[in-house]
Amino acid sequence: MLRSYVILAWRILGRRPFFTFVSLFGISLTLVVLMLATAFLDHAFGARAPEVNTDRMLGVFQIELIGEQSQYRGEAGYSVLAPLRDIDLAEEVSVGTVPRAAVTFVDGQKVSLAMRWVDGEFFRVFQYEFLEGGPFTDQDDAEARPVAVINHETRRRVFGDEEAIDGSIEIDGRTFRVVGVVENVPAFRPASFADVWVPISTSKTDAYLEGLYGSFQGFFVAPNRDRMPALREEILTRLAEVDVSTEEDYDRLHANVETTFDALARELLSVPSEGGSSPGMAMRWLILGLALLFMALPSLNLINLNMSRILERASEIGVRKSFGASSRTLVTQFVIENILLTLIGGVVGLVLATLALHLVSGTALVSYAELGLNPTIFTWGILITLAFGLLSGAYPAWRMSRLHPRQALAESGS
Amino acid sequence: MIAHALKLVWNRKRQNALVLLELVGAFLILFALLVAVLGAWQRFSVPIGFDPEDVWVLTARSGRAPAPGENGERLLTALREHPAVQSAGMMQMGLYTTAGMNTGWYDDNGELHRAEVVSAGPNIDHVLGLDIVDGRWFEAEDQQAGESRVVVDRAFAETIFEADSPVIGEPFRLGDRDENFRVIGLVEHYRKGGELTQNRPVFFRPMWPDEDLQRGWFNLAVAVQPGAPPEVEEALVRRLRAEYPDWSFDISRVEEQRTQHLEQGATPLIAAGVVALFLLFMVGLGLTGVLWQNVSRRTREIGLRRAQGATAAAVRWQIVVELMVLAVIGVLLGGVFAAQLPLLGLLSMRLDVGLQAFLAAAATLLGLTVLCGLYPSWLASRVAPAQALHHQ
Repeated sequence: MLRSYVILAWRILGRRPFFTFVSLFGISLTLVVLMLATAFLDHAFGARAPEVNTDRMLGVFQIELIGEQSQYRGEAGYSVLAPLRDIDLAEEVSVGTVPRAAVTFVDGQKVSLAMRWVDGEFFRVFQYEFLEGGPFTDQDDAEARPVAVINHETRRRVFGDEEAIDGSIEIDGRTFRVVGVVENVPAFRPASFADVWVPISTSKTDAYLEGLYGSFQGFFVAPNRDRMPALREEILTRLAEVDVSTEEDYDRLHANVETTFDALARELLSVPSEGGSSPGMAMRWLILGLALLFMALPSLNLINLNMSRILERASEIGVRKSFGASSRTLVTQFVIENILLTLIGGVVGLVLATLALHLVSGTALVSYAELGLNPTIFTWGILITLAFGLLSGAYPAWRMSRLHPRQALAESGS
Repeated sequence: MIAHALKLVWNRKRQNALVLLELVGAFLILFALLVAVLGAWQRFSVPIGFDPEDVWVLTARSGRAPAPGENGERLLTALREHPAVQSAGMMQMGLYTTAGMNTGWYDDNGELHRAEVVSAGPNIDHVLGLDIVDGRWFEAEDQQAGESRVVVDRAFAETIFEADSPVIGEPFRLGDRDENFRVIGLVEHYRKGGELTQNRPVFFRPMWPDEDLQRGWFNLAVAVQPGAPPEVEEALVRRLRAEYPDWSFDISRVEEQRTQHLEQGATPLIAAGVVALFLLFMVGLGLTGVLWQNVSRRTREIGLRRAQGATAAAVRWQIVVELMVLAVIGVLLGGVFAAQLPLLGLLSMRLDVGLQAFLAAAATLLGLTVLCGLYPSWLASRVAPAQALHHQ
């Protein structure tokens, strides 16, 4: 049965090349756009190196100091986060700064660098792919050794073909010894992106030790996902104990302890920091809604085309109905035909998407983004295609199946 | 004829409803794209009020609370010694950044106004090539003036003073705040965020390089000789480091920041534009297909009209007008939807931009439908009465 449907569908596709082309064009290009978006989202939010722990990691990305007159919102000071290192519920705890602009000069040319001051645990929380050498350790941080981990791009720009490990790099007038080179991390991964990582203790002054605000973030890895709520509670309790009285303008400290995805969603959607809603959830719904909205127009287009084509086949339907074919059989046949069509479009779309991803990765649209097809994206592509086939095939099929044989046969004349 | 077309459209309402839905969707996409593009264009066409060419900005950061005696004067003097530096000045915020100081106040009518406060020192007018239309920029004598002297932009002057009244030398207050200001200069525009940011009222407060710092960081702007080589960047940074060894200094070329700002603003628009064009192209092809099918099904009806003496042109028109009636209904429905967005406050857009976008989207969609109708209507016009009879 299925075989004859497929053969029939194939014949019909060849009958009116214009219609087939329009359908395939719509399906494949819609798929290309959706796959590009999926690839980008996967690149930005998926669990991939170095953020392999994202699904069980909590962070204190920003804090708020709240007073009657004033309000501070920004990164925390070292003294707020450092005491949290002894929280037992967490497997790993790391404290480090957000990337800050720094410069180095190579043969008189300026090279701008995003630089993070981090502790040794940072490289256990984030599993960077080391291309050469390795991370620096807690010991390096404790003894303020001027060592640095750099990314591949910085290695290329500063050292070129020369040996980078144990080479020296002068940043902001201080010389660091390179101990490791890691794979580039794109800039839209705000928790882990940087060009250079150096120990916190190598700061030019020890002024960072004081004050409630600074440029530090805390990262806490739970042993598993089930322990995350307990860990969050513990961190919040400890943060509530922070003494705010040293700052005269502020009465209390508030912070969100959340995943990187929630933090990013909060930022993008401007969700107020004090409120029960989950920005991550809102973000997921928003993305899903946008995808559906985007698919709506191509689907409508396909439905309209399909509706037009049904009438072209009125005689066939009339004959089959007269000979006792049930509505269900006809609906099944038509939906299968449509799924076949969308699958062909899907294959074309996948090929085009691969090419497009290749092109986008080649341009410097986003620093260090290397987008590519992977099993996740491929699966999503197939699922999207099937959804498309069902969505655009079901309604016309239902309409078709309801054609009265007499009417259908009468239509066939014209 | 239009009434007739309306009747024909109504007779086939079931199929037309879906086509209509598609047209509304296409209109909304066009409208959203045009709002974004026209809004960006409208912001882009307002001058930024400074000249980014051959201006470099050095960001100085101590990374801690300011210590007494630390100020920008030493750094400015050091910079001016370099032969490539033509002029140098100090300012709190850099250029092409959205970070800034804002202030809000209520006027006598209880209406809330907002303005951006820019702290900048003497010479900045030369460095940035500010367009001072009246009065003057800050000079050393203002430091001991004993009053708060400010330079304002046109938009700010218009929110504070009556139209056509003098601005220079006039005092003002912000709502019921205690501080008294006096205007000493007027600039036409100043949009430090760059070409693609919203234009909003600005006033400048003086910043004195020889006073102790308020914060642990500030910016130094220098105008350099045209085509100054990259080595100068390194020389300037090293020179500053020699003055304050435990500070960090970053240097950037404002022209590069400008390019980056425009690229970042244009990239999402271009991506959205490509996607929207693809959708419209697809809708166009789809409509052509639907119409084509429609015409071939209506051979009898068309043949009958020809037999009764309708000209080929009249038949062509009928097909196109039928689709255009649908498109007009689609535009009107879409317009009703689109009007909800600003009403609900979901989309912050200027009314004139919204209207322009509406008209442009409507014109584009109608043009698209005419284009889609061309081939099918030509097919229809070739139907000969004999063919119709033959069909029978």
